Amino acid sequence: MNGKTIPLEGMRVLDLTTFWAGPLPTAIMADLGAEVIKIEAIQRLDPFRAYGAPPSADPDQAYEWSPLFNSTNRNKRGITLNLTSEEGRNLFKRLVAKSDAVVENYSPRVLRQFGLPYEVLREINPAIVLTSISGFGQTGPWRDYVSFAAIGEALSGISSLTGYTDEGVLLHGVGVSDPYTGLTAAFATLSAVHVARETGRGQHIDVAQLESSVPFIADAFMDFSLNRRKRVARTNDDPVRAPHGSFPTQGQDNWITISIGTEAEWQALVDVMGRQDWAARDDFATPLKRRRNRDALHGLIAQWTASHDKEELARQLQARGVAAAPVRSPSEQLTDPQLRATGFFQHVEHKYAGRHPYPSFPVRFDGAYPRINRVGPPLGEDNHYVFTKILGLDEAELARLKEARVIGDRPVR
Amino acid sequence: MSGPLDGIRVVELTDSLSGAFCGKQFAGFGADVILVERPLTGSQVRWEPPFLDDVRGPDRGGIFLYAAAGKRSLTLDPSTPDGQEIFKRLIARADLLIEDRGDETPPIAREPGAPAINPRLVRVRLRKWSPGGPYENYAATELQLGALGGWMVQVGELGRPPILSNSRTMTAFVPGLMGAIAGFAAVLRARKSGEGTNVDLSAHESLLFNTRFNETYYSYTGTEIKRHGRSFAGWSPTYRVFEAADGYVSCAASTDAQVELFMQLAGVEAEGFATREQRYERAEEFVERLSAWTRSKTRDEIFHEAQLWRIPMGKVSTIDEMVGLEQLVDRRFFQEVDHPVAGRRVHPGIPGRFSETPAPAQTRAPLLGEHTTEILCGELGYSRDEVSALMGLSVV
Repeated sequence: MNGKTIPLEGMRVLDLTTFWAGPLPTAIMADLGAEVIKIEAIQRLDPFRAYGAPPSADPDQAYEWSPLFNSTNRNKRGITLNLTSEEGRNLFKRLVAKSDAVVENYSPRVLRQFGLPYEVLREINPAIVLTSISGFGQTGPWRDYVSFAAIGEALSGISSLTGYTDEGVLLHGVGVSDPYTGLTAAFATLSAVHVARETGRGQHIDVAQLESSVPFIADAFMDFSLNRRKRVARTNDDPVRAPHGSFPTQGQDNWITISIGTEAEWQALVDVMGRQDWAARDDFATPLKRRRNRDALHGLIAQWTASHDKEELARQLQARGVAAAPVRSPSEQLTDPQLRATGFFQHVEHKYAGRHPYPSFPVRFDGAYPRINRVGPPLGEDNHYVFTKILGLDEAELARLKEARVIGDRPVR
Repeated sequence: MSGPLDGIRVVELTDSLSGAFCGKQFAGFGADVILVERPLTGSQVRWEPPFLDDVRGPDRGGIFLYAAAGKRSLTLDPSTPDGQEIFKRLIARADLLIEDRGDETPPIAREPGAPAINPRLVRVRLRKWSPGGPYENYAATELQLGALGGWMVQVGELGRPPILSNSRTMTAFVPGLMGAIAGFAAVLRARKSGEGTNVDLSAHESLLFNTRFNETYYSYTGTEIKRHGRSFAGWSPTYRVFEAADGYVSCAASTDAQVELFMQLAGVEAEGFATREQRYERAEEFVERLSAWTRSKTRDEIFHEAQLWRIPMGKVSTIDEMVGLEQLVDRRFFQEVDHPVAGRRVHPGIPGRFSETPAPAQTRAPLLGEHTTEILCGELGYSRDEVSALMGLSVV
């Protein structure tokens, strides 16, 4: 993305979010060129900083070594501000006056406890957009309930669809409810910023994890809505295709996915397997028979794949037009030939954690991914810039705020 | 204003679930979305199961009924000269074009630069794989995209087949929403600068971006995060699914404080489980002790009791229970939409509540070509006579 095409250049966002679902939309806005100011407090860091620091991290500064925090807060400025203090709140208000949006994912009562509800922000800046992200929404009987990815998944019906056939439900290891929520919040925030630019009026947006997750199971939900069918978890089921699933290949926890729709694809698979005798079997003679007898068929295919290399097999099958692909683990992604060719991972240096690969925002604007200029801001890294350049404070005031622990760059323990 | 995106014009030329969900974001917030469909057969999304009463038909597909709600339908054969002219007039006044049809897209929309007729047009192009790599022409279903996109390795039990959830939209809708975000950001820029942008994305990379940065995690720690059945072992033995008397509950307790509260609530003695290390060391026994309590209670009892204690737990709802969840009922999340073929049906609502410009009530999905005459005559300057000729020529 060259300078000419940075879509959100000139937009400023205050980021009061923690963990993943909240910081994700602001990371996207930062990737797209907005100036995002992540606000923590030395009294209370983003708890995501406590996850995933390697054993090699300096124990005194392990909070700077979280791969999760550093990834989810890329391209953001980082400041500290104690919002429980009068001075902290006043500085925050001065930033609100100079910003387009505030994004937060506290429990619904917290912003009000700080004396910073939407009505107060609007008085400071009528065009401000406040996006509040929560588990269940700002209203309703469950508004104060706490939620994380696993909870959003459970309530939204996602968990009920996740698992092997007739074996109950499993956790969705991606934690999908968090990105579903974050992406929903990103689109809603940009939409409200558009309204504010057109009309000069901001607004309060209420994004709930539960409500953001339900649309993603639209196929299962609409099946219920149209046919009263109660869909449940099934092992890699497809409404049409068979065989369709993941099959073991050579090595430890190596798998290939194969999916067959048309007769031509079936013939190609049989050819590559060298098992024309299976093609001749009556119980596999038609797509419907293969679907009906898919358990037996899957068992046979698994016996065959087990002695093959997943990469080689995928290439062979794809060369014959068969939908086949290896199941990738995280470490394998880093050397994936497609991702190497597109330059998907960007290697970025972090002051403490060193140089590591980070995934690009997966969209090319006029041919290029947005650049990741920096990752996870060290605690209070941009205090000086934000308070002097944006708010015009002088060095003496800065020193006094630090002394009063309104700001700082080391956690208070 | 009727919705935050009132006045935004979108032309959608899509056959995929991703593309349909991308357009839905705009329609849901009140933009004018014109779905350009093939004459006679329409968008392929119309032919995606499940179908009303399990009977196939262009207006009976559940995903289409949901994803096309609020859009207008124009039929068009873009391979004909008159079809191309109509398409040109459509995009001349649009903010955004969403397309996933590749070579079937009219040439004017495939030119490398912005079309002269509308230099501020933003073009969102959704593909399965990014061009320029070895997978560019790979055949794929959601399974292959989930396999290479980093999702499958995270779902299931280690040593057993990696799986996806039993919902294709769970993966297919992700690139659609990513495309909407990126596309609308480019529209915001175009409205200031007058310059449009090409916005290209793949389902493969869109999925991978949303996997909690497991590759970066590996680079930092050398630890490979993979599926772990009912648990997410990295964070706490209690971050997992538990059995309840009438189904399952999920628990996201991961801090020591949360875990200790859970122990108190479940009446599990601290003896032997007092520290994080002990709880990890005897994780199986620990989970079993907590499970003895969860199995003795219903999902609702656990959910509400735990939440009173501020322990993050939630019940696993089944599909038939969704419309009755009291929080969603209270917030009127689900909406009834009336459709001449499907009848009155409940749809998931539009997430994201706006205090000043709320999303308009959802209207139904269009019948095939329902708005062709309205758009051609009312908005693009064709006469009734010409429209009738275009229909005779099978252009529309």
